[in-house]
Amino acid sequence: MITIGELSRTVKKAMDSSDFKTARLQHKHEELLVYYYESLCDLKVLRERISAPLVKRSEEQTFTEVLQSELGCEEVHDVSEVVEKLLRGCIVIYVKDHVFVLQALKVLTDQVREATVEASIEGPHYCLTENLHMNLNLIRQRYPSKDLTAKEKVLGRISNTKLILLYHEGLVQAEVLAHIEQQLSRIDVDLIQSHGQLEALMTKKKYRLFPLMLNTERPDRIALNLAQGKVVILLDGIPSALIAPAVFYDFISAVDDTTQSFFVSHSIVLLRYMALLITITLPALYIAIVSYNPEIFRVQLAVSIAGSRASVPYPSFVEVFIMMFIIETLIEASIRLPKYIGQAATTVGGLILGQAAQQAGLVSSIMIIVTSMVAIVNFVIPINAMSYAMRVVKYPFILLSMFFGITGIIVALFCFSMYLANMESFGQPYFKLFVGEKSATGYKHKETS
Amino acid sequence: MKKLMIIMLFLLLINISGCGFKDIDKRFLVVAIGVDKGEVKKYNVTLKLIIPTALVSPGQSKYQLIHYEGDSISEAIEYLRSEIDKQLDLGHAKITIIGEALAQDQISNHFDWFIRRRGIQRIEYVALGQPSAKDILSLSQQSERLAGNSLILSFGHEGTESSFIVTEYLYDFYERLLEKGKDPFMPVIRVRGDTYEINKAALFDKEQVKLMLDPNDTRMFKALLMKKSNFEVRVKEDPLEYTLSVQHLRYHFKIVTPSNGDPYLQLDMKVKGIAEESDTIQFHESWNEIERAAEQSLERSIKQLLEKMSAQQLDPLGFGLRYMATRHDGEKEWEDWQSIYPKLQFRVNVKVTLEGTGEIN
Amino acid sequence: MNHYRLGLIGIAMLITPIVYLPRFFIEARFTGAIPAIILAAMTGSLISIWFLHSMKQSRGLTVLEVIKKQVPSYLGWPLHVCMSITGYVGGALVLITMSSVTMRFINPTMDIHVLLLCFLLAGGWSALRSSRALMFGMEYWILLCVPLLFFLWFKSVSNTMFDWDAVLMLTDYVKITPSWQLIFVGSFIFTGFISFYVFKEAAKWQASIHEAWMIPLAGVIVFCGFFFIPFGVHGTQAVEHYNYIWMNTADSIQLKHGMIERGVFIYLAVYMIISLLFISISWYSAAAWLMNGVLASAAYSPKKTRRIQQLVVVVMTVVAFAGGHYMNEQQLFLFTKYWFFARFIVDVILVWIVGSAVKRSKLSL
Repeated sequence: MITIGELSRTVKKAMDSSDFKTARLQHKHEELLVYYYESLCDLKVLRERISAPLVKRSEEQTFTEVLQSELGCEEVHDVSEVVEKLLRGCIVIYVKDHVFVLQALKVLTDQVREATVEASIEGPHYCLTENLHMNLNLIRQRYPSKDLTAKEKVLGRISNTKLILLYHEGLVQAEVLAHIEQQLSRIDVDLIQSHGQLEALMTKKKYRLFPLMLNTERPDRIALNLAQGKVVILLDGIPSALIAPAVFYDFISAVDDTTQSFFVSHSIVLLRYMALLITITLPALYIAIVSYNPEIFRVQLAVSIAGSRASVPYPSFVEVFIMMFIIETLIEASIRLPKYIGQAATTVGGLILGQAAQQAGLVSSIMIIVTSMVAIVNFVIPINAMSYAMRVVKYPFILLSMFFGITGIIVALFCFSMYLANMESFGQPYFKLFVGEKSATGYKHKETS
Repeated sequence: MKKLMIIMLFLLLINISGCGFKDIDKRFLVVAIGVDKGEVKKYNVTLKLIIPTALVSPGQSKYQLIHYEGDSISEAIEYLRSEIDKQLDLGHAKITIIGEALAQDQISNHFDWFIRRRGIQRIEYVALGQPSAKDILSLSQQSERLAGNSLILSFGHEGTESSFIVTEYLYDFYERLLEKGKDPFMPVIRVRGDTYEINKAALFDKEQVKLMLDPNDTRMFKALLMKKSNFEVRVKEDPLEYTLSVQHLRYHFKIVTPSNGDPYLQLDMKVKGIAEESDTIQFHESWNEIERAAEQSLERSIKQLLEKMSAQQLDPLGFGLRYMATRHDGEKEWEDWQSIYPKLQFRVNVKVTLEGTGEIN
Repeated sequence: MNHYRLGLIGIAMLITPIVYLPRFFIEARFTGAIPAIILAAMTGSLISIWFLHSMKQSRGLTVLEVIKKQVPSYLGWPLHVCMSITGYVGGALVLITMSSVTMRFINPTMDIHVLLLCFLLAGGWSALRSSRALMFGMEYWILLCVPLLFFLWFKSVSNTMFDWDAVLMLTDYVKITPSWQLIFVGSFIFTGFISFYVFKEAAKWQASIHEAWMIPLAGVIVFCGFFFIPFGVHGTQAVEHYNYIWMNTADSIQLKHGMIERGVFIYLAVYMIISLLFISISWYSAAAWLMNGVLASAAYSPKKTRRIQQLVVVVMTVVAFAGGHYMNEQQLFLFTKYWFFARFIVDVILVWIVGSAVKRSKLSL
């Protein structure tokens, strides 16, 4: 039993908002009070499910009975729950000392759209939406298994963001799941809005370069990972999912790989590893070869490099830093700018600046090739988080090659591989040769460094 | 604390390193080294330096030639360093040319520097320059994109695959200088007009040039040394006269020392080839005779070459090494071989298979 | 078959050209190198197979755990210290040699201390990684390096300049009594991995011992490659004139159509990686020996154990730096020789103690 006094006291604060509405509906002897946020609720629901039944109601029924039979409508016994329900898009109905809440949230974000970040040619085209339930719907459609378990949690003191933990019961490793749940329970923040933030909150290490969890927007990838026994985390309002634990190979593989034949997909993976190697070592190699060991390449090539560098007045590493700075800012700028200006920026930056810098004798033409190669090759890495990480990794390589030449690069490569091998994602090894492990697609995945 | 340590390490790195740092445009790439007998001092060292240009095009190769005399090669190079404004980078030297006068004595001493000195490629080519190394290096061929490139291409068999050009590497030359039962050799470069002429080979004993092979012998020598086919033989046996183009060549030899009688070397060779230029041979004739003729003329020229070499006690094909490898008497073998080689007879047996008569019959 | 254990066996074999092993044998080519390696293969393989066999009885325990369980502590702790020292010295020698080789062939104008520091930091840092990381790293680097090494071998053997007669010359010198020293040195190829048997990943037993026939076979192949190829390239006489015989042999390989023309750069890259692997593995295991035997006890917290490990590795790097500073090439060569003897003796004692302890404990069960 909740009195009208209690109720109005509870919602009093919200009354100040201009979009908070109160309505009194009256028909014959029945009288009800309706509270809702106009901005959150669909008025159609109010009209069809409250007003209409109220008018059409037969004499024998009380309106309370009507509401009780209504789907998505429940009675609230604790008055303190009311405000939260209101904020989640419910209509609160007060009838004769009973309080009912009716789910009437107007959802505008459940439109399924095409994948843009992880586009694919032959695979499915649609990706996750910004609506949690829609996402669950998409995943369940792809993964119709009774073992697929979803656990809901709420994170954030202010945001009260809904979070769903999805996993395949039986395939998932118990200790990984326990580890993830424990990490989630330790999170204590006001607002949670992104996967990156969640990932940072869930990992203990502060200084971290590589992503430990896979961020994907593709339902097919999620299904694949569920079948591999991984845990998927969905956050409300974010059109992608986090997958844990992740291994390095996950960031190098694209979903398309399974749509191709054996040799095609494996050569593409090999290509990506080569691209990875080039993008992190090429600027460093340029310094090492120009300034320490020109004799590594045959004399004909060395002479071309020397010729193109003849007009450059400063040491090679300055040249590399200038060009790396230009290309990084160019990439950053073109992401943030609106599409139309973005194109202009790339043209100005890439074509004109590069050409002019070379003609002015500020950088060598070989360096222009190196720079654009590094940038292009970086885009081959399918997952964004990893390609960002790799953009950073090349700088330690550049530093070491400045100090030690080619020796520094090899030592850096070794240390880099050891660093990766030493990493763990939720207790699971991150970077190793995965030989003879279970493959959900029937594909044999192999990893090289 | 940890951060402080990282910063300290970084500062340390900045301070101690960078001593090897020298940009490529502050280096002079030495593409060829020439060593001649000096007029006053022992050596006259010539270096061919490449001047890099932004645009590389044929015939535009720029280079600088510097030379200095010194009592040792390193001394001469030390002086040369003071003459130029950039660092000398010997790591790119692809070819070393020894002047003919210098090859007349104590060749092994001259090569000590090349082997001992770090940074000299072991796979650099060595050659003998006639009349002097400096003359060879002064020439720049018209087609060259890059100074010295034509020599590199010739010896590397990347461009021309001439049957007259024998290739010798520094490491192999050094091996032959020291090895028992295997003698060194070098290709000979001469200047004719504005091109190089490389069609001779100089054979050394352990110290000096003993024999200069003429082009025909050089061709045979190369075929025996590298087991390379793709050369032509002029067959002139009455009544046949034609040119055999060798497509395929295999041979093996053994040294037989019968208990009674003279030791001999049995060389069996199998050759496949096609007739290239002739007005006497016919498609429908019996090929046996044509093959016989080629066999005879090949046998004759091989035997001639081998006898020339054995007359001078030269053994660039490694007969002695083969002798020692196939006997099991330890140290005594070498002495045995030295007494055997002067009286060694050569029995050459060539089997020619004619694969066709060319495009016409 | 446990591929981590195979990797450890492999890394001890592959490191041989850096620790001058081919040079010892080349110097003795006319005085019994070939019989020495045959005898070394037999003794070395027997020792390792005995060792692996006794480890198999203990069902997946590392040698440290076996000693803790079954060897009395008055025997245990000197053994730990000796193993630790020989293991550490191996890594340090590789490091010093590698820095001087790098200085000669790649950075001739650089100060050797800079290179020493570079390798020391990398090696010391890697030695502090987890055992799992070292094993993973070893696995994929070996998979990358070994094909490159075989490629270089193939390139030099397939060269027309390669002289088989010079290799066959050595057949004259088979029936010579070899020196004991050479056998000690040669047995490193076959027993070098014993002090690394502290990785729990490598100690797992899955099925029968394939290593029993792998060790002599792979060892002999590796030895033949590193010993005979220089003869074919440099002949029987010039071969002893080179200080770093394999650097010069690799420098005699021309990759005509390769982007990199000189084989020596590929070889050096491969060997820098293999050396760093060897250094980090041997220092990790040296630290593990020392800590298990002497410094740490099970009662310490993980953090304290970690601190001790860091301290041990830091001391190791400092000592190695001092060694690199004071030793010249000749001393290094001699020191390497003595190290070979010492580690052979220590390894034999270890295998004997462990083997008899395991046997006794099985009898008493």
